[in-house]
Amino acid sequence: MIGEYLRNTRRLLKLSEWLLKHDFILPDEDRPYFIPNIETGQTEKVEIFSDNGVKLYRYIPRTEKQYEIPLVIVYALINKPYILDLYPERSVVRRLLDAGFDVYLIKWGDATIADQFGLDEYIDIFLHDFIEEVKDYANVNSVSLLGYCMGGGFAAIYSALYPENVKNLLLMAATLYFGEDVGGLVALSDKRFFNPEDVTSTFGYVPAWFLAERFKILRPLENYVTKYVNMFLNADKEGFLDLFFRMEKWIHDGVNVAPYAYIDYVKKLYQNNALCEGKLFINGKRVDPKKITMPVAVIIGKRDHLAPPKNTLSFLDYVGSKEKAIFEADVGHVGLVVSGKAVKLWDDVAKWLGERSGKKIKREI
Amino acid sequence: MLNEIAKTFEAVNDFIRTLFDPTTYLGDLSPKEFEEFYNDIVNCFFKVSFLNAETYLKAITEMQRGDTESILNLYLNYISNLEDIFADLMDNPVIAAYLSQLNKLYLRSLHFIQNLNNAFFHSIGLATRKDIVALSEAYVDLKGDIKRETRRILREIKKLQEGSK
Repeated sequence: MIGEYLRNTRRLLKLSEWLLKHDFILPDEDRPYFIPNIETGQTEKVEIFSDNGVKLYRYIPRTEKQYEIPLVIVYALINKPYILDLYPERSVVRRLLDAGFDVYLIKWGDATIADQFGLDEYIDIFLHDFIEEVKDYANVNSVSLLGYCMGGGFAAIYSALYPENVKNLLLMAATLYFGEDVGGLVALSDKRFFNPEDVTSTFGYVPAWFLAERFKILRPLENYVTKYVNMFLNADKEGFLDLFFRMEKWIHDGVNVAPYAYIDYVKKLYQNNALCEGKLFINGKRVDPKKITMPVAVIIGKRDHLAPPKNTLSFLDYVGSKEKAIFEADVGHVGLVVSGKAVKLWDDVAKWLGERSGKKIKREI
Repeated sequence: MLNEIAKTFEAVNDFIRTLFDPTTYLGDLSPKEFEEFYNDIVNCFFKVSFLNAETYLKAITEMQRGDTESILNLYLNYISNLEDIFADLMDNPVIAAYLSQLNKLYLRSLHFIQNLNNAFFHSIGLATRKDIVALSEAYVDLKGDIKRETRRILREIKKLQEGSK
């Protein structure tokens, strides 16, 4: 009994020590949280193109030669992409660079009231221009796309509209199929009760905190209580607090989403399954998933509650590709990119993609 | 008089029934969905009770052994099971509907206050959120038009270049 008291005292001291050593990002109107300012996203990258706060980065290669076909990561509009490069030992970006890929990242940026963009603009202006920019920059005719979460939706829509520009399509925990049986966010976004315009007309955009809380409410006990109990119980373990607070920072340090993009995505995809059913139009052009004929790989976490496996897997029934691969691990939505359990998965993904990315060449850029 | 009292009593009764009837607010939900919800609630109650009893019995055994590490693991396991039970419950359409209604109530109240503010600021000649949104929408349209035109011009230049070869 006394041993347990002493252990708890130790945990409390370790936690206090950690908090004392770190600075905090102060709350603001969109992120009303005290966020520990711990270092994230340390892999070196350079900005090569920018438009309206949307940025295109190229990660500095870590191998002498890289595969001919560049890999473009299309991140979600929600949250910041540094989850893919949380820290060197758990960095998907670094893993892909080490496997010899030329990696690019599209960062959508923090929308404000002055960014009234919709899906039409994000897909047909930004994503289209950025892919063209990568093609020019790397001197290639097509690229591989890796879309994560909502970015998976963007990558799939783009691939259906411009299949000639996409060599391989990877959909990681992507939100694509929205049948009633999916549950989670699809149930919470039921069109009978949830109108995304209620949010956008009130704020003029979708504030980061609104989305963070909406995701947290899906597992309320875990996100509001037990996570912090577990954190305390593990506070004396080496490196645990660093990882825990990096994750906390990522969860609460989100970005605002442009209003029409949110309305379009919720109304057309979440509430009407328009992508799978071929009823989605971007700038007047019909998005037909059957036009996705390039090799497609889906990467899923079996315990993902934000994009349940069915959300991504069922989309494969609608695409026209003959080459389909499934990579899965016993992890959640974020575990796919930060958990040690997903390490083997990324080796398999890199092998699959490497076989379809041409030969390795030395680039002079 | 008695008739009036009876009618008023009936009206009060109807009002209270409507006030507390979930279908008043969630009328779009089908009776089957409500049935599922009540089933889920009962299931959840039994699952939690069973889990509590099971954990309690195991905890007594572990306490007799005096192994604090096992008690901790037992507790963590309990929490994890509890999370799964509540996560299952959250998938229910009635819960989703209640959360959405609460959400709507908050958002619409806020929107109402903002509209009052906007009206006041407009009356004294100041720009409001509405004006910024309208300007931004015009900018987005313009950007789209410019992109479309640019691409059309580029396509035509390409055609001309190919034709001259």
